[in-house]
Amino acid sequence: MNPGDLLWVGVGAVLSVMILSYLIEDNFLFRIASHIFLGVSAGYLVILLAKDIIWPLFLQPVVFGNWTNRLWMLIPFVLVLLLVLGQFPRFTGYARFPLAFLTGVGAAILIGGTVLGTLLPQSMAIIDLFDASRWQAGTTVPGLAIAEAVVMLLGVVGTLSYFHFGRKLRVRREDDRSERPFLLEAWGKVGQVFIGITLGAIFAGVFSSALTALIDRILDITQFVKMLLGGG
Amino acid sequence: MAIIICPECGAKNALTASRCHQCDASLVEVEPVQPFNFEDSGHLPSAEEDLPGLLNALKNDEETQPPAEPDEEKTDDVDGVSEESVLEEDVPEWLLRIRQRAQEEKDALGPITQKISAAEASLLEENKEMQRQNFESWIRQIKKEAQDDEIDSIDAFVEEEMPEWLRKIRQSRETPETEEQEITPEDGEQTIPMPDWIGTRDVEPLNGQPKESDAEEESSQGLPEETIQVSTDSAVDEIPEEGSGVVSDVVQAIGPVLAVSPEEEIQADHLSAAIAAESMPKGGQEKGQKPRQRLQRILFNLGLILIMVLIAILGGRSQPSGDSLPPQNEAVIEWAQDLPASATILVVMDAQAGFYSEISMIAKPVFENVANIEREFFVLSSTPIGNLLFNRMINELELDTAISAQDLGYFPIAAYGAFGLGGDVSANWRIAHLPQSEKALPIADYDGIMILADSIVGAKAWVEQLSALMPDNQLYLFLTAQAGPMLLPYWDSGQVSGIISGISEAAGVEAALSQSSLIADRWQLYQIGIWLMLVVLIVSPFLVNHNGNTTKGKGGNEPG
Repeated sequence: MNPGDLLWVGVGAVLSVMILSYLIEDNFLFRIASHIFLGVSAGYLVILLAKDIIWPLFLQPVVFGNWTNRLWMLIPFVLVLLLVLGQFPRFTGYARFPLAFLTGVGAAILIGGTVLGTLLPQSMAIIDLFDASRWQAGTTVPGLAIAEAVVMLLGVVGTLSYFHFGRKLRVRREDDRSERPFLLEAWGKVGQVFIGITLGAIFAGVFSSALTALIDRILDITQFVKMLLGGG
Repeated sequence: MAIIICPECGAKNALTASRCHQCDASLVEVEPVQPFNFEDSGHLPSAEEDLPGLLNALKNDEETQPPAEPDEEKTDDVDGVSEESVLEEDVPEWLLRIRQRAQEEKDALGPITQKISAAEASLLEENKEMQRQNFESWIRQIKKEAQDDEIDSIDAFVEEEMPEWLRKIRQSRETPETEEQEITPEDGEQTIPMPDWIGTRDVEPLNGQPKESDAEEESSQGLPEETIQVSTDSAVDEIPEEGSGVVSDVVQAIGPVLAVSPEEEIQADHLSAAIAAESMPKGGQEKGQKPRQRLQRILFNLGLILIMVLIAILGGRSQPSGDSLPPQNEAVIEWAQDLPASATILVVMDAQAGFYSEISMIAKPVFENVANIEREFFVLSSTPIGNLLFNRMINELELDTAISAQDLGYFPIAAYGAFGLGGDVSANWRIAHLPQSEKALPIADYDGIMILADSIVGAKAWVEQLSALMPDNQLYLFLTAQAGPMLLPYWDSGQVSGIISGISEAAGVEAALSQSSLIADRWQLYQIGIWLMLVVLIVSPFLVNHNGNTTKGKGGNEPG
């Protein structure tokens, strides 16, 4: 390993130790390392935005384009100007226009993606599980396929019921005002089980990812120490 | 016929009376006045005959004009128990209007009005002390009446209407409310303990005059830090000490309720949340820990790290067999092995640098099979560091020949980038006759789209958009373990052609492809780490109980 690589491996190892020192207590070294990462990330992001977005998508058409290009660029220019003006207390209201534009476009894109990319395909997938022809054609035993379909249906209905916040239509007692219909309440309990299992799986995944990152750091530090001792 | 108005009680007495028939006060030096009767204005002397016309004009004005809303100044006077306002309450409306008109038109005053005004001025100037005493007795009377029912209702009102943020602040300080309402009258100033954020604002005292904050004076008097001072000048400062109870009750009632606007309340909510967050222990890092408990934790953490370091140094290599892989993993392997020689592949980088090690371990075995000089790669990032991570990963593969990879740029919002790619936005730009940017999204059918993601949200945005807008393209997900479980349904629904999630699945893929031993070097360490996690999860509740930490969780439903 050449001296340049050794230097960067050393810097990485030292910064890793500084971050890991948080295990003992919040301390000066941890804060220094955090601030270094934040500062470097922010600086890099500014350069990246200028290089990948502002120059090619905004300035390039203005500088090298014809008048039609420049007129088109007037729209983002005005929106940017309003956003910048919004940073001054006197003109705060002007920033609402570009933000409203962004929010509206973002919502439209997200809703379209959610409906077309998740809601409809996932609903169809649930329905397809009950296709008898697939039970026979599949590699799994038909009984297991049916059981899988039933469990899937229970999970979907139960989870949707859990997030249903309706109330009873006919109120006979005062307590009924704060209670959901019995059927929804029962299905909601079933849904709780599925939600708990899902959250448990996500937690295990989060821990697994963190453990993988920790292993990588430990191996890097070990490698650096070995190199310093002449064993690497 | 002239009469004498008693300066004590205001009763009318005969001209010959030497003492008031009502209060028995002396009337010797009191000047007689001509009685004024509104009903009998027709019998006024000729000099006053213009008065009915004046009154009629005033009446017409009153009928034509809408009832005037009480202005702020007047309201403040009432709230501040102003002396003038108290006297004016006893004056009829018509007389007030006459006075107002008389101030504007001096010649409108007749002799009778002049005499009445003179008498009132005389009363105000000469008998101010008597009026003050009357005012004090009035305050006492109010106090007596209020103590039984009004104070209770005010307390109930304050308790009910107390904002949630104020209740939280008081609860967080664990200070009894009665102690907070202590008032220490001293040199005409009363101190009321208030939250910090209120102490920074201008507080309107009872007389409506803004009170200057005077921290030095406050500290010199040895008052608590969380107090503000309320001036009780003007009418209130003349109230004797026993009357301060009424003031304190009124201050208690109107102080925080009337002085806070909704915006300030929202700011106070944020501030109190920030204070609560600051004061909360941070993941067991609280400063006030017992030394023994702290030492235990440090030793425990260092012990775990030490075990893993020792295993990293001394541990051997192990790897799960790649014989029985999940179908989503096998689909990825098949795709990588059957890819055409001149394939076009889009790589979407949605991973942060912190998860690079995991992502690279998952994707490298596949890239070793896929990457060659004849294939064309397009790299699109929805994280700032995405392109750098891709280049580092390709460099670490140590391929014999460099591959062709074109950087399509960085899209800060994954959904925007995916929609732009799938929605064929580039064509729209061409309609606008814009110059073709080198960062423009290519319009092409890819032989495969590889999405490398470390979060559920980012990967989901790409899958949703691309599977809906580019259904003919095959999507392959390379996910960290934390993103995998929530994206598996997209494999079941057929929207995704293959998934590799987490180091455990990647270990099987690596073993099946037999390309490298990157994961095998870490697999034993990973297994030990999982066991350690289980031990920590089991042991830590006992450690917490052993240390006497009785902090109860705030979540969950409380019975009842």
